[in-house]
Amino acid sequence: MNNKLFYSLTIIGTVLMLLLLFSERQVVEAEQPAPVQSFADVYQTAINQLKSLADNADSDIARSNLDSKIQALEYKQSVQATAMTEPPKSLEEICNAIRTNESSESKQFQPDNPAGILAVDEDFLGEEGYLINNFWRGGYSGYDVEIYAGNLYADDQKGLLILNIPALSFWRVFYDPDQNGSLRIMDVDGYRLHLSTIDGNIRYFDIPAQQFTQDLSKSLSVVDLPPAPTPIIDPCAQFATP
Amino acid sequence: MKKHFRVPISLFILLNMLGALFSHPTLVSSEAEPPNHVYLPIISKNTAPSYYSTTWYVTIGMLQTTSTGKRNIYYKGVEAGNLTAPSGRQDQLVILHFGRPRQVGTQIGTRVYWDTSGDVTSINDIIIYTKDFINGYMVGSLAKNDNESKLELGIGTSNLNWDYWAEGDCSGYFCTTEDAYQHGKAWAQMVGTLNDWVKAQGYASRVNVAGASDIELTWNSARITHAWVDGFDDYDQGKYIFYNFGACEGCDIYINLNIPPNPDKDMVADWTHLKVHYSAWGAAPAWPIPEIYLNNGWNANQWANISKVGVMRGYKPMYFFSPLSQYQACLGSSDPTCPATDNTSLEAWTQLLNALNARPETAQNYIPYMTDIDWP
Repeated sequence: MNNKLFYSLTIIGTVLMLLLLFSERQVVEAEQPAPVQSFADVYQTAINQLKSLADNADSDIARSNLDSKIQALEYKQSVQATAMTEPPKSLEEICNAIRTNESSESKQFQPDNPAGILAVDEDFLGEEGYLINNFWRGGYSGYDVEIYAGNLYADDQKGLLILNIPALSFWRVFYDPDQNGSLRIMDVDGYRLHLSTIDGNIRYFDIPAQQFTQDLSKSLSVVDLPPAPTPIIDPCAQFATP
Repeated sequence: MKKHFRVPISLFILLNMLGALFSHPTLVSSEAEPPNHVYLPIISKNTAPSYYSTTWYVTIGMLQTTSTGKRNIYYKGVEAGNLTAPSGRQDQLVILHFGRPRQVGTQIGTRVYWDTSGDVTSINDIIIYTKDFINGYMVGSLAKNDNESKLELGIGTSNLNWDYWAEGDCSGYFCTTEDAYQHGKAWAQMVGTLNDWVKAQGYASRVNVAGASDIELTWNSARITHAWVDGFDDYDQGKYIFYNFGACEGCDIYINLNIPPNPDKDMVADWTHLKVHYSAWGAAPAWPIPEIYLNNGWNANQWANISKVGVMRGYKPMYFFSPLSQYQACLGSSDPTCPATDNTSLEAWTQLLNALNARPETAQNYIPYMTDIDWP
């Protein structure tokens, strides 16, 4: 093979490969619909797609299923359309209505939150993957704090504590470094929890230091808590009467 | 070029050409069990929504009243309304996950997250808290001069019975078809009540309420779960829907263009692919908002396969309003599964759209929403 033939074949080959590649791309692209903008009416877009499928449905089950879906979306759409013919309420009107309803209707949630070491259902955090034996509730650094003691659901040797400070959106899992069984809170001394494993091994957890220790008297450096989240402004506050 | 180089290079080029010629011009590899899927990047021309909404695990703290006299869940609504800043229409779908079904005495409802009390958050309570969220949304968006954006709000529960999940033996509430049916019925009636209230408040041009359930195959049997679905269906008046925002554990994780998924595949307990399909699409009020958590795309493939088994049994493809991701919930989390399950909302959206469009018979033009779950 001489150089001329070689380079000619190489060029032809490359062109053929590119043609193959782009011809496939175009075929597949042709099956793709035009892009839909995110601000398009969501219900109408869905209804259009379902109706086009219903038109081609060749089974009763498909038609019946699609009819019920379309019916629900059309209902949503009609409610929306009817409501749009009414004059929209102003922010002040809504705020006044909220204030009126607050006094007449709302159930004010008044949690009974005793402090101390408390019992809880084992599956209390089951969905999150933890089994909990008991918990401590108290105050620390001006915040309500709960600390749950137990183990990882997937491994009962992995003892753990979970520190929960809802006001700070603070939720952190601390695994027992010794990992020899589920933990239970036995006592609390200031901000230091006394913990026991199933086998009776004792260790401590220092809340300000956010760490385990084997030595009750050992001094540990304090870990800063995260800053409090920026409060969300209530748009209705401007209409509140003193 | 020296002659002895030309022959191997010519052979290399020839092999490349043959490879290109005889490879499958499909979107997905057609190997029996491919380790990875190769998608051509054609779908990416469909632009994803430019924002995502936050779906919430409803914790006991969200229901507590603050010093302003309003509950924290109201401020979550304000936050959702603020998503629309700067002004301009930005519709969103949000689910409030009120937790697993629970009954105490004659009261049915749920147990909200982090509730140590053993009490029930009743249906009536859930109605009040949902109204708070909607009020917050309305004032939050109006404060940003937004009169257009719409909120599609799912009120969520699940099919979880703890003993069923942990021990494989259902005990207590939500273990009979009667319990589940009544709960589904109550959920549909609650959705109706909330939509009536939305209309009465003059919010209906902006807000719509649906039911929702985090249906997971390991959390309860198909028999009990379907009873909940049927309870909802029988009392939805043909106009209210629910979102299945669950998982499909054990469903086929590969998209195989040569061998379709088996609709009757035995999975967890009495679940099959087709029974998942029923709880997410086959039942009249069911719509899927699936958990698309896994970074490797398997969750997306599983739901595309569920759509496929429906098609195989005479249905048309499922329509997905949104995937559900958990990127925010995983941020800073010590959950050991998070490193592999923390898709962003955009990753989840892209995976789901690509998986659905891998087969023409399950293709969907566009997925309008993205929502990502978080803890407060």
